[in-house]
Amino acid sequence: MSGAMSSFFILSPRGDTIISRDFRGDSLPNAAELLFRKVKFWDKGDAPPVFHLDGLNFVYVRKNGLLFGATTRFNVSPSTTVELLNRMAKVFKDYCGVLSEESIRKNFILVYELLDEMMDFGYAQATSTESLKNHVYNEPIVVESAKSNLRMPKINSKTTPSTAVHKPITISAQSGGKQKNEIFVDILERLNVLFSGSGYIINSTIDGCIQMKSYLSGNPELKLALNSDLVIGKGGGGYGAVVLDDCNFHECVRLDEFESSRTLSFFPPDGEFILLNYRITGEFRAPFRIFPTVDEVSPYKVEMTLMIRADIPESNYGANVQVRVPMPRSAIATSEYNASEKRVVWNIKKFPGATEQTLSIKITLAGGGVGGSSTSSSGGSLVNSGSTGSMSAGGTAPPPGQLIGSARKEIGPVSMSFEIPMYNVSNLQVRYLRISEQQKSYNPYRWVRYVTQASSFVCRVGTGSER
Amino acid sequence: MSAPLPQSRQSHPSTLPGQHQQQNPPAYFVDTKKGEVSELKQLLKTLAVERDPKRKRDVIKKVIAYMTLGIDVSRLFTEMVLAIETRDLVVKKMVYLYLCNYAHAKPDLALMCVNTLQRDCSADDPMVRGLALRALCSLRLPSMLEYISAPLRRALTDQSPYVRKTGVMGILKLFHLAPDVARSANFVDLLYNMIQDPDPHVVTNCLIVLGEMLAAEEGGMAVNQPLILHLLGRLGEFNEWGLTQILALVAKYHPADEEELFTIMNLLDPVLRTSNSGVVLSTIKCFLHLATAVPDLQPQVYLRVKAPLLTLMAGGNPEVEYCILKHLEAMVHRAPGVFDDEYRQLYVRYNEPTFVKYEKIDILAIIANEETVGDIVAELAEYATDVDQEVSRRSIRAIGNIAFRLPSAAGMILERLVGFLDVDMNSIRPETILVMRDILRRYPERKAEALPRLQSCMRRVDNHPEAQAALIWMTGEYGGKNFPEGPYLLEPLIDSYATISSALVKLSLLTAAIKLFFKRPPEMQSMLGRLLAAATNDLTSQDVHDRALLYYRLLVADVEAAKRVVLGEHEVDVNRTTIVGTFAEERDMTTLRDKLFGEFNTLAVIYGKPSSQFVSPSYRIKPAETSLTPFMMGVQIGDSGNNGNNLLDLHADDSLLPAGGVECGVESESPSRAGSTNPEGSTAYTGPSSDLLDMSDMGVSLAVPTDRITTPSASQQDFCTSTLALIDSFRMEPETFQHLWAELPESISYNVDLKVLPTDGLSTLETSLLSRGIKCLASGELTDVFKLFLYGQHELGRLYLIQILIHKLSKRLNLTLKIGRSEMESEGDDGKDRSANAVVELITQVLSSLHLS
Repeated sequence: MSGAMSSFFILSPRGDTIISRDFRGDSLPNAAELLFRKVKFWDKGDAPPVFHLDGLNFVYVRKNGLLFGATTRFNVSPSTTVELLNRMAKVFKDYCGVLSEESIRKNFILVYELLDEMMDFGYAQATSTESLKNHVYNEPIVVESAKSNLRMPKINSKTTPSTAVHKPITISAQSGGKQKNEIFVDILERLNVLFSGSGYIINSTIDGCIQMKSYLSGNPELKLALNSDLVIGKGGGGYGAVVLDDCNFHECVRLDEFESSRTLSFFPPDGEFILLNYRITGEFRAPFRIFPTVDEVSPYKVEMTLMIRADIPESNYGANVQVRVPMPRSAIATSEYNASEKRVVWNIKKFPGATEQTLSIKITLAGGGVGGSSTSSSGGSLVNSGSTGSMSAGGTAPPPGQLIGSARKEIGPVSMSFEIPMYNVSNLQVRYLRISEQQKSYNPYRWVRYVTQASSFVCRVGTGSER
Repeated sequence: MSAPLPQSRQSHPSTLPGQHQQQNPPAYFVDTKKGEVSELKQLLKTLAVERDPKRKRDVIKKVIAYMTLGIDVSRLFTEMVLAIETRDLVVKKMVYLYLCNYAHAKPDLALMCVNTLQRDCSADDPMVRGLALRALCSLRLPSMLEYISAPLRRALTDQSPYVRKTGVMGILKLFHLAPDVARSANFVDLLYNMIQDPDPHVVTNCLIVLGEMLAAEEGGMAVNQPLILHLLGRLGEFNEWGLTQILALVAKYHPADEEELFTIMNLLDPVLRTSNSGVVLSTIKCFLHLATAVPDLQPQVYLRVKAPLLTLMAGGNPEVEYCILKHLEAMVHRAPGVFDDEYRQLYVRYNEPTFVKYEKIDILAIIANEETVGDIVAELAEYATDVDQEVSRRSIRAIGNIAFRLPSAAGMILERLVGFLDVDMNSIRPETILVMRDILRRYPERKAEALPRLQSCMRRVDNHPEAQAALIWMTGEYGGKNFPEGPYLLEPLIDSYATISSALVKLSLLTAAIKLFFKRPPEMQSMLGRLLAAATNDLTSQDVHDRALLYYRLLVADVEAAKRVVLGEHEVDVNRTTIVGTFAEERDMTTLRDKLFGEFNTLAVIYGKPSSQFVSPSYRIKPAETSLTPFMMGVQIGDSGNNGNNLLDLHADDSLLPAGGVECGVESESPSRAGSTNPEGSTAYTGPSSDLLDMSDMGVSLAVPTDRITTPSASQQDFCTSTLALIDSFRMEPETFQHLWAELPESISYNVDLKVLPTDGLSTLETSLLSRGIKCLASGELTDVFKLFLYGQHELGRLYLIQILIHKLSKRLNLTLKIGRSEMESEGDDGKDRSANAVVELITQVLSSLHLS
């Protein structure tokens, strides 16, 4: 079952309409506003990406703070619509260089042009970056990539959009000569690990992908070889083999040699794309181990010690490590304690492999009269390795035993975010990346990087009685 | 759009090169806008003379910018139309965009640009031809009709595929402008021919356009073997959007034989490795559709699609994940057990959007089984203390649902829930109480474990009337022998009656008090008296007042009668043995789920409603076509003479039958249903029931049997008997059953060894049989054997009486079937044997679908 989009729009984080295109004249004039309001004031939690309102179906995705929304009156496939919106966002990013409010605003004519080639009467047409090149004439206006210190370094911090060359008509010669022939390959693994309070692993998965960004001229055919002993499907493989539960491929990939030699051949499309997605649920060594302990020192004091061990080689390190520990609701304190979010945030710029770091947190719970919060906490600074911080929690005053009991339940779970450059947990390797036979003379720069990232790295804090 | 405008308008001019920036206070804004639009008009006029291409671009760009912001720039129409004469494609595209936006506002002026557009339609550059044609067709002006037809026809045979595909889409635009013109112009046939086009984009658009043009009248494109084989052969050429179009067609196609079916499946298998979730779900829909013809294949299909679905979910895109989870939920109901071992993949991650979390929690509750229940409940218990109240609420609810499904876990779960009562956080306690109430309703025998712990909660849920009412209800319902504190739990509430603000709490208090009164009169008498006095004088709620008065008068009139009214029969008959199968809401869901499954990979699955409820009629696909969902597959196969698998047909019909009706041992026959029963065994298929079932949009399948009856030829009779169509509305009294059982000879006796014993008593088995039209008269569990007495009536009046014994020790199932002939039938043991076999086969099928054998 299929059907057309009625309209499409891009909204800024504040809800301004940056781009709006009506395909069929059967949407609502205020659809963009309706969507934004509904998303902002959804009654329970986050608004789902698909919902129905006033006879109109809304589908939206969020990208870099922007909302890409579509409306339809047909009973469409929700997944296809979501994928289409994702694809549009990707194409805009490829053409504009970065995806941000500023870049879309500056390139709005280009975006409209792209949109008109990608969609006709609400149906998807050609949506691949390179096939669009033949039909798109506007030049991108380059926007400096916004500094985002939270994210890991994305493949390119390049400001040149991938499509600044090969424009049939309008492109001037000046940028043509400068183009470097290069291709970036990232093996990116996002870890989901859940530790119980006593330190054993309850659940662990790796969501991995091989992401590429090609700046190769002439789209030569490439061959990328993975570990030759790679096994796909759980339960297979000998000792030391990399076992993927399952994987899927970009549509450009041909799998003729995959079964025999674990080699993928493909013509890289322009721009950023994910060559391969894979998933591993087998055993692996978590790069960090978290050991929390909570002691009740006195009826009003809880002491928490958090020991973190880096189980990675000395040559590697965890970068931008952040550990977050939720604290009891009524806590008030200083320094690393974020009062509005009720949690301690511990930042470690660089966490060398094969080392340990310890944080201890002293939590004072207020007893006595109502609101008698002993805010005279000695605002200890939280520095890593053995230093201590303290805080006090105020609030109404139930009997001490119960206070500690319920406060303890509110501590944790500890969540951790990090990235480990040049390290991957699964041991999946790119053996080689080659241009296939015919074009031997061609020798581009090939950049291969490995990155391990925390997706959901969580340790529960034992409450003693549990498990 | 009006609210955010001022902000964006102010920020926008800065992004436009070559224009001065004005920072006017908002009060002057309207004037400024007018001023700026006039200024633009002036600029455009001078441009026509100047011919500076760069400047022209900038000015027109500014016009489009204003248009985007919602400022009305239609005043510039004349000037913009003049700007269309250019060789600069960038400018041309912008002007076209402008034209399409404002043409309907200025239809007269729009005619001015027709000449240019028509000329461009014959330009040398295919790009220009395509663009002009697209603009021409997109103006949405009826007055343009006469100018569109000729260029459109030419475009369909253009050398350039870009122009051809634009032309194909143009037909659809024309169709929406003037359906009759498009129909009479024979475009449909043209399009069917163009499916052979060498360019995949052109083919894709043909499929799209035909699909939409024919949706209302013919339910979409006609599919036949050559078409499907042609498209499948070219699968590799298409992009993912083209693939989804083709897959949608395959999902309507009925392969000629099993060989073709497997060929198609093998062709589609690699598509499951695509990273586009829309394509993968479309493929799964095809697989599920194809597999309906071969029931053995279905479990394999679910197994095959499991890994790809989980991989797509892991892709790190929450929106995609949400859509997949919704479909996963639909599949989990269909294929119990398949996803059980991957339960860890559904554990909630701390940084996910809540729409993903909610979905995961709901699915975890469905896939928990005997082995995983410990892990899953422990995990859900962790979520109960989540900061998000809805996550917490849903987790507790999910834990309760697991207890519902897995009786063996009920004790453990109840213990866990009792632990929650001590947690002083969010809505944990109220929700826990509500869930405990529901568990006790299901497992009243567990009351001793739960009740004592409730005592301390009564005062702690003051601010949550629903939970308090549930507590009071439990006290009244179960506060008899095992729970002597009952009355004293209610007493403080009765004494502080005046402080209770919720009518709900008051009502439950009244009912609980009177129930307890009958169980423990000495303690309750005075309390009840005080309560009734207070409540009959309560002026805040009419309901409370009335109920109090009703109880009071009942008690005054006849205490024994009052007892019967208040306690109802279930208290009288303490030793009832039959178990209530499923809760009523569960049962209705089955029908809905079947419906939704027919709309797999559409919004219906996301909303949990059939599309007829949210898609307006003009956007619907003709219902007749909807019936060509997997369910109807079997009929087609049966018709084509492939009777080797004669239960298919039955399967097709039964999935549409409501699961509602009589539960074993419980009389719940509605009058309207009773009216349509056919105890005499006449052949009339009960027409009214089709309305009762609200199947109008699934339609057809119910119409099929009616057809058969109106022309009862010999061959059709044969067809019916071999496919065993049972009458849903038939009911039999236990006396009749007993009488017939004694009288009839045994037709067949059949033994089968089960892999496992039914885990939840017999309710699932009974429900499944009921959905196939076989009803349960009585069932029970003895020390060493499960016993079921079943019956069903064939459309032609033949009666089936079945006894099933399942020996616990040997796991052997023994089936005895007796067949009662209706007077309508002619003699013929041949047919009888066949139908006996059909019944046996049906039952074995049910057993295997439940993974029992």
